[in-house]
Amino acid sequence: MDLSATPSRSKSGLRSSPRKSVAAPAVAQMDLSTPSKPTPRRKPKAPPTPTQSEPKRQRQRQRQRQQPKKPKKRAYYRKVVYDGGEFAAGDDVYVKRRDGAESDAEDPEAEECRVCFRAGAAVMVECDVCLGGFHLRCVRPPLRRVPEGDWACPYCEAERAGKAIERPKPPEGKRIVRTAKEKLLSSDLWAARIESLWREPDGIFWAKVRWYIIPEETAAGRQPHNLRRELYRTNDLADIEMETILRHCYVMSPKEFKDASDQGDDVFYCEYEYDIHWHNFKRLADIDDEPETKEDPGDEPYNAGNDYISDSDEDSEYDEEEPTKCSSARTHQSHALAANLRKGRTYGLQKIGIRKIPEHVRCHQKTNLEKAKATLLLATLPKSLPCRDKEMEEISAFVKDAICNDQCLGRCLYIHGVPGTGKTMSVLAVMRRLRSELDSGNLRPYSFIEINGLKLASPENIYKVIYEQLSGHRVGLKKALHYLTEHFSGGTKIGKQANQPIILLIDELDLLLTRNQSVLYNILDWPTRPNSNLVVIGIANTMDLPEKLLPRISSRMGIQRLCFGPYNYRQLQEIITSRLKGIDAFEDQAIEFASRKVAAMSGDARRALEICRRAAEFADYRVKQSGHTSVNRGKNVVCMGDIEAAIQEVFQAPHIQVMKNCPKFGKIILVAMVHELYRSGLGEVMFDKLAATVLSWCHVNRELLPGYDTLLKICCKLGESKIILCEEGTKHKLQKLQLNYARNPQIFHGCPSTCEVYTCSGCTFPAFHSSTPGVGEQRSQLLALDQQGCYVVAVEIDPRKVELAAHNARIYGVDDMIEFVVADFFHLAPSFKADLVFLSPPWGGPSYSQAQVYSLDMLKPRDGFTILQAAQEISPNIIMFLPRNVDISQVEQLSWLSSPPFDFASEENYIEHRFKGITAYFGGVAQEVLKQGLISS
Amino acid sequence: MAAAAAAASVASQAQAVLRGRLCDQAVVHSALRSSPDTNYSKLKYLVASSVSEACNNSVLLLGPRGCGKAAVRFSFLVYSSAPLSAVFSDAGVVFDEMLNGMLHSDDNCATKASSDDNTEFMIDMLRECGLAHKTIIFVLEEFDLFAQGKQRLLYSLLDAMQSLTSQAVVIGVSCRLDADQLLEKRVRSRFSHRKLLFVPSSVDSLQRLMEHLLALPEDSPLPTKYVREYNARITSIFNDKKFKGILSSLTDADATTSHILRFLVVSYMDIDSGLLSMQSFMNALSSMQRQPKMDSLQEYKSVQDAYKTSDKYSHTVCFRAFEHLLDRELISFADNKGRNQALEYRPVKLLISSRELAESLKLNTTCPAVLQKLLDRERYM
Repeated sequence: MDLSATPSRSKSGLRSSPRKSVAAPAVAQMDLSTPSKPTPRRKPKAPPTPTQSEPKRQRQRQRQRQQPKKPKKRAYYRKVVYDGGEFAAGDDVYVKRRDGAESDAEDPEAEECRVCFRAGAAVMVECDVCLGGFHLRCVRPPLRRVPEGDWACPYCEAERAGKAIERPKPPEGKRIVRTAKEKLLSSDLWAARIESLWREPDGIFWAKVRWYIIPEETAAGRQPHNLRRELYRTNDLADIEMETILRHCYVMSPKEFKDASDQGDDVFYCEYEYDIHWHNFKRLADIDDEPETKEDPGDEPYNAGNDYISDSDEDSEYDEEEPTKCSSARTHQSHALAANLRKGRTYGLQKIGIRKIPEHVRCHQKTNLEKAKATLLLATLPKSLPCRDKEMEEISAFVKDAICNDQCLGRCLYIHGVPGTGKTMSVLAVMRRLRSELDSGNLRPYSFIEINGLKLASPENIYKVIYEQLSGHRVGLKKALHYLTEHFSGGTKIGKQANQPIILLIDELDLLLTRNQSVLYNILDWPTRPNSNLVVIGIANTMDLPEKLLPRISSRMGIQRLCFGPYNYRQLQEIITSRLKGIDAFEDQAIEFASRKVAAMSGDARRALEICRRAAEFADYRVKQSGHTSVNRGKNVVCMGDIEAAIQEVFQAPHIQVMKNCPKFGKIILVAMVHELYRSGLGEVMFDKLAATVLSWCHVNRELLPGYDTLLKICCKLGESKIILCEEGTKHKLQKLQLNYARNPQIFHGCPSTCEVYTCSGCTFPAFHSSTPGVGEQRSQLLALDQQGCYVVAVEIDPRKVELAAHNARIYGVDDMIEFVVADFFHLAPSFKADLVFLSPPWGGPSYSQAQVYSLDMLKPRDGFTILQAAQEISPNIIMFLPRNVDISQVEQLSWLSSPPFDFASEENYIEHRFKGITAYFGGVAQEVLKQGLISS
Repeated sequence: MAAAAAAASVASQAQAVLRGRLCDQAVVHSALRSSPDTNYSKLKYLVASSVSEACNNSVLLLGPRGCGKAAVRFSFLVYSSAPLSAVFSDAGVVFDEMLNGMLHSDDNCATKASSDDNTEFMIDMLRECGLAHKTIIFVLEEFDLFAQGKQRLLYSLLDAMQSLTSQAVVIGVSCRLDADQLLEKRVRSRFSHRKLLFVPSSVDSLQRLMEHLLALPEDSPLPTKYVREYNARITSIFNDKKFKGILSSLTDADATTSHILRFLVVSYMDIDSGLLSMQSFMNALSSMQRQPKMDSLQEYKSVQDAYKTSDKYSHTVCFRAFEHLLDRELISFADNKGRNQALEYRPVKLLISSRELAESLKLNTTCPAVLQKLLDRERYM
């Protein structure tokens, strides 16, 4: 939020209308709020102890005699009409600072113009520097409209410029009348917030107030970023007599302050709390306080003085409503709350605070990119939850159904879906919505308990937590279970709202699984009891959790289920764009790219947001490094490159990088391992053997011989990074070693020449995964018999596919081996030479699988023969990847048709045990394949 | 005489200065801080921006041991807190929770006692600090060990970071490259996949590092004439081809920074002149490349003699030798079964290769010829 802009706008807006609301007596306001109460208006200023009639007093005494043990108590009120104003707990008020100083009588409601010194109804504008009011027409030059943004009066402007200027003096005999606001800001008044109101037994009204403090009075003094109307809330409480309260003022949170207009002169801004003991500041957490106050229903009398109040109700001038709970009532029970409740506070944390409010958090105008970063944070609660409307409908229908049904039959809903698909968030959003319905009175009251399975110390602890949330007391496991079972089976009820339906949300439900599954059984059994009034919503990742459970449990849980599928790319795109609404920081394609990528991998919204945020960071970094920000717009947004960098960071395979940078002997060991494993055909190799191979290679190549211990040390180091899996080093030569990653000779591309010699000397690497899906359908393996120095040129006509493929190749670390060319294969073929051509012609869409027999004419864009002919110009060795239902005899014919006739071999390719396609080998490569005996012709 | 003593004292002083430099992480990694593209500056930017923008972040530092992960993190926290707080005034007040996976491999133990209360404390603390514009930095050393079990700690930590009031950076440090794959999927989903990869430096940068470390600073308390002479000598050595050979044979085995730091050239300084020579580099290299097992074999030759040709020796001597070998882990028991059997009757296996044995026997000049023959005969049998 840009604070520098807000206050001035609201203020000038406020000045622009005649300040009627303030000028009107406070009674009018009160009338609006409590129309039904027959309150006597505008009492003459009298001591609050009312002169009560004699009979009344007697009656009170009688009552006290009847209950002799009850001591005289204070009577607490939620709202009090005092001296013509209505004051309630939570209101902000001015408090007199000195007795009988200046001016209690004089309390101007309207400010006077600083030039003509008259109030008047004409529109005034407030100077943002001196806070003085000016009539539009009195300013030189006169203003037509209230200016937008910051405005400083000519005098302040001049002072700022360093010129001496004389401010207009008031006419003789007229004293400048200061408003309450000015008095407050010059320490002549106090402001405070009423925490509670009560009447002492002697009839005097008191209030417990929490003071506000002006910046000048803090230890840090006024800081440059403090706003003129800023106050701090303190943790200093005091009991004061109602007599000293002057009238209302309005202290607002930043958000309210921003939205406020026409609230008059007594509006203040408060963002921080000031600790008077530790002299430090803390942000006010406006988000969290809200549910707490809502949760107490407040229908329980705080003390027994209830009838005492109602007794004096009819004829007294005080107006009582429900007595409110005092804050002290809450403190003594706060120690007994569990972590899941989030209400318990730990002692000593109040010391945390900051000495001075750092400037950068206040006066920082955020750029678009910074705004984007902030709104993409996972912590930021989005304004709307797109794409889950249907599911939310369903949850809401389920809960409502369960609540509204008079007989609240216990039910159970199981929600499953992969992480990051908005399960918990949707449920909580539904519950928030229901809460507001409850507040507006459209719904039966219920209680809602939220528990996270992973935050419980042990599964059994859930009983404790549930009991605690219901009753507010902490008991042992067994007791809690006992009470809960009683409660749900219709016995003794726990807590105050015994008959309300209870909605129990259990996140990460699978964590409650114990060996005998008793916890889950108990929890899921309660809803089935008659009159249990319990609804359980379970959330977990696995789809088949009910099936994994004992039948008696799964029959209780598995009935109603809701699946949150992974987001597809359109949904992810919508989620991101809805968050970024109004912020011009991303290219549209960039968002699409990120969401497509994530949708293909996991469909996890968190991941998509993180990638976008990371990309925004990259862009921000780039912009800040380059120094000039607003030169051209194109540079200051997140583009494809940033997204790609972010994705690469997320999906990068670090082991390739590390292997590339291995010391030389490390590389030799790895190569030797590949060699040994390939030769033996086993999954693991003994260190003894490996060392012998390495030493013999080194000997042959006249390398310096490393010692056994050095080799062992290197092996252990590689094992530590989990590039290889090895047993502990104490086994010495008997240590068994395994490769942790697929054998991929590409890794060794950059290693010294000796290594290449080794790889050629005898071992052939079986396969090289052509990791370029996107260029055709290259899921097949490219059989490259002599790998060393192999260089791949990939040709594809669609530039987008090439981009994707190039990116994939980078991820696999083979990008320096492959050159991607955007071209038409048929144009390129005549002018190009290579050792081997791998063809993966388009099969013409998914419809190929429908055909009974796939004929080569169905290949796109030209038939098989033309393609083969073109390829022949490049190389006599051709491999072709074809659909599984291809007419194999037709393919064989191809080899005869060409001149000279080709050798031919074919191979069936299985991907994950599914027959996927046929690889046809023509020419020299077919001979090789046959010679190796890998396949039959 | 006095002059010689003075020279010696200067030399030992210089040695002390150099050793101080080698052990001081700040000096070692000062080179890191200057260039913009290092992991150091990336990490700094990340933390600085999350402090200034009041957001949560998590990052993994991956790489083999000895590449300076911990050092970067450490020097970053200690030495950059000054500029950080200068830039961000008071917000730079940073809490630092260092949790080491080795010490706290048990989830519940990581924040002591029952996890329920501690999660509560952690969330509360996060909140309070967040409200006070303070960023908490959690450093999880040996991150992979936190990923054992149910990962409660990681889950609650990362989950707590999904609230607006908290302000924290989680830095995981691990030498397992697949550390992020170890996370459970719901934890992984909450983890922002930022990774900083530390790889062993190239030979060039290692040479620069050595030049940086071994040169004496001009402003040291040593006499300027000596410093100049010393630095000139060092530069000439660095330009020598032989030095390149030494360096490359050193890095062939292990190219990490910590390995270089252990390269104790300084100890081989010629104490009379106080200068380093090529010979001291050579000596240091050979000391690095010692094969402890072979050494110990030579050392234990006499004992082994006794063992191999046991017929000549008494039973007790033989038995003692056998125990020594076990202690040195040159041989070990074949299995763990039969603990209570007498030592003599348990099957053992040799942990060194026969080739190693043969080589070390050859190196040992005092080895009796009988033993050599015995071994040779066995090999050809």
